[in-house]
Amino acid sequence: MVRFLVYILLSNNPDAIAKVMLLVKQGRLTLDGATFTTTGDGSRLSAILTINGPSNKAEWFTKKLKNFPYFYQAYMLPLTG
Amino acid sequence: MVRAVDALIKQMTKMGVECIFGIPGGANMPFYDALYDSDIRSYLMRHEQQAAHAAEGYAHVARKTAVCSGTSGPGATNLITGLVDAWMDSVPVLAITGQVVRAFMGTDAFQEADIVGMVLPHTKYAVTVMDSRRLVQEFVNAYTVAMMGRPGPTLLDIPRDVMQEEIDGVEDIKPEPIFVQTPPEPDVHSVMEAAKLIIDAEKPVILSGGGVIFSGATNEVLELAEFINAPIVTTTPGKSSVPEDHPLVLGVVGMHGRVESDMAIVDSDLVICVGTRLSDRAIGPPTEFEKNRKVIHIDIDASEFGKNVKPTVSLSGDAKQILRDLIDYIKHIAAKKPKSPLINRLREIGEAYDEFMLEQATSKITSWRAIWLLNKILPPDTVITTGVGQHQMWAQLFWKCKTPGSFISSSGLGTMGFGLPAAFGAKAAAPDRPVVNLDGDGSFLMTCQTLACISDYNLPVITVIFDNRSLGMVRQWQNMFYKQRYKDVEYTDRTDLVKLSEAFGVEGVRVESYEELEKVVKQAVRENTAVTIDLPVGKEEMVFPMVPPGKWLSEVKLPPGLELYGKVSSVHPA
Ligand SMILES: Cc1ncc(C[n+]2csc(CCOP(=O)(O)OP(=O)(O)O)c2C)c(N)n1
Repeated sequence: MVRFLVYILLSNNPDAIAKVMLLVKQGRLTLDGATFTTTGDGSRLSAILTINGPSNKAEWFTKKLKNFPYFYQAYMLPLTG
Repeated sequence: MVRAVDALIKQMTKMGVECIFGIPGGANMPFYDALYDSDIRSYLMRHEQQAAHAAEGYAHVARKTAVCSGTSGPGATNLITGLVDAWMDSVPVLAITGQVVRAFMGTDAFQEADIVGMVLPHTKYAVTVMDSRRLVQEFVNAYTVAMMGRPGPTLLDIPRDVMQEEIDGVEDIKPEPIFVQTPPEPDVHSVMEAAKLIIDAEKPVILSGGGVIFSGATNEVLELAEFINAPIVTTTPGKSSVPEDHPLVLGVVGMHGRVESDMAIVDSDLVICVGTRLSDRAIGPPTEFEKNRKVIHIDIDASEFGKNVKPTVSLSGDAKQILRDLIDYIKHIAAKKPKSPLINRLREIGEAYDEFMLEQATSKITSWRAIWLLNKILPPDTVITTGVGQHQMWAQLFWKCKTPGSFISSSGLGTMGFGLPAAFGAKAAAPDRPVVNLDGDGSFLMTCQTLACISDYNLPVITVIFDNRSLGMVRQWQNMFYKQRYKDVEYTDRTDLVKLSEAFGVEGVRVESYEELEKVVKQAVRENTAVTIDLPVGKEEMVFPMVPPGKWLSEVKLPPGLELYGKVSSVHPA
């Protein structure tokens, strides 16, 4: 199990946020925290999620996001300790 | 100024949409009103689930995004099974649903349902269009992204008043940048690493998946196999990715795969997996698959790497392009590998299985012999669709595909009722090719109203119902894993499938011999006419080989009485 931080730049709409949560669920990951903040002209959100789960699923999550046209960027950072 | 929905239809025509499968209702009536004046053919289906499956069949054959439609509420929810099916098998389908007017949304209005919320987990993109000026743009986005990158379903939900609003005319709309999913260029370093693994391998096997079909990479898979003299096995969605009469192609692998394919994987030291998500049905437990062999995984969806199986080398991008680079590099640094005796041994195993099965099946009609016979008499470009169950497994074991993309089945979701509407959609895409639906009686009865469309639109599909008056596959599991406590798996004889077909305007025939089967099918092909053939088969038939769920491919159970011990050490009779 690893704890990791994910940064996501996404469209500012509830479907995009729902899609993030559905992928957390599909990956059988658990959420420690999430913040969503509007950026720029308000059409996008920047999200920071702290997530727990198996390392292969953490990678899967970040890559999977890129399949969907709600997400402009997604990066993962493993957390230690 | 122009009505938004008219602008939508104009754009659909411009982008090459030739037909839609659907049913009108209150909320999507403006859409149908706009279709009235267009050249887009609309097929009036009898259930929206069938519209979605028809779109899947069409998309498979036409290799482009297919469109289905339903009204708000029940029309939209009926589409869901088909959309999830398309999701599981990566089929580009766009659903256009009507929605209640914007002012009523969120009020539990008549026929209001949050269809976008419902399909979000199983679509690439789903959106309710709230601004009529965005309608055409959203269509272009959803239509394009369904086919880009890894194909999959999308949904455009349009409130009725949005369709009817007047907007400025729109010209030359392109998908917005986030919807353009261009596959990455093959990574040179990984190509070199993969090439080295391939050259060093003694017993490489190629596992070809559905991604090979949509990428159009058949020739590259064959070229690689021929150069390194490796056997090719396929997943169920990848069954028609390579011609099954090619000497290196062994057939489908997995739970009900060909025994020689299972053995090829068991015996391998390297598996080159192309365009496959490596599902449990195909490879069994991933830990066993990873043991004792290296894995090269090529896929357009990088999230598949390590999801089930940890690859030694992964290559993300378009299968055709990656294979091209890989082959060119390998040819540059290594000589063609000599023929391996292993392939002949594996083929002998397959031949022993076929011989054993066909010897048993002479007096009364059996599913496998009927499929083997159909395979001999139908033209090589025949499109096959199937229902779900034993008959589907017999089809994957005994039908040999000769044309890429010609075997269409519900592989990932396993949706009974898929076969007939998918066949209808396939025939709409290829009216000049024979389209044959190999169905179970249980599956057929789930979507048999599509017969009405076959008759109305004169899109003649041949259906062969393997009529065992039972839910055969469930019965088989009750036999093997539930102590033969048969519960709710048997049908009575009261439903007359011949009369039922005739009631819809499609000729029905009950066939009692192989000769009759051959005669009826040949005539239907020759005259391009629809027919429903009720073919009685025994409910005691059991599909073998079978790898018990959760077990490794080496534990494949063979048909009782088939002895392969002399040929291979690790197969067991059932
Ligand atoms: C919609 C749906 N419901 C239930 C199942 C579970 N199921 C899998 S195979 C099967 C039996 C299929 O019967 P039939 O179509 O007659 O084919 P057979 O196995 O007899 O060849 C059932 C009920 C399913 N796959 N799909």
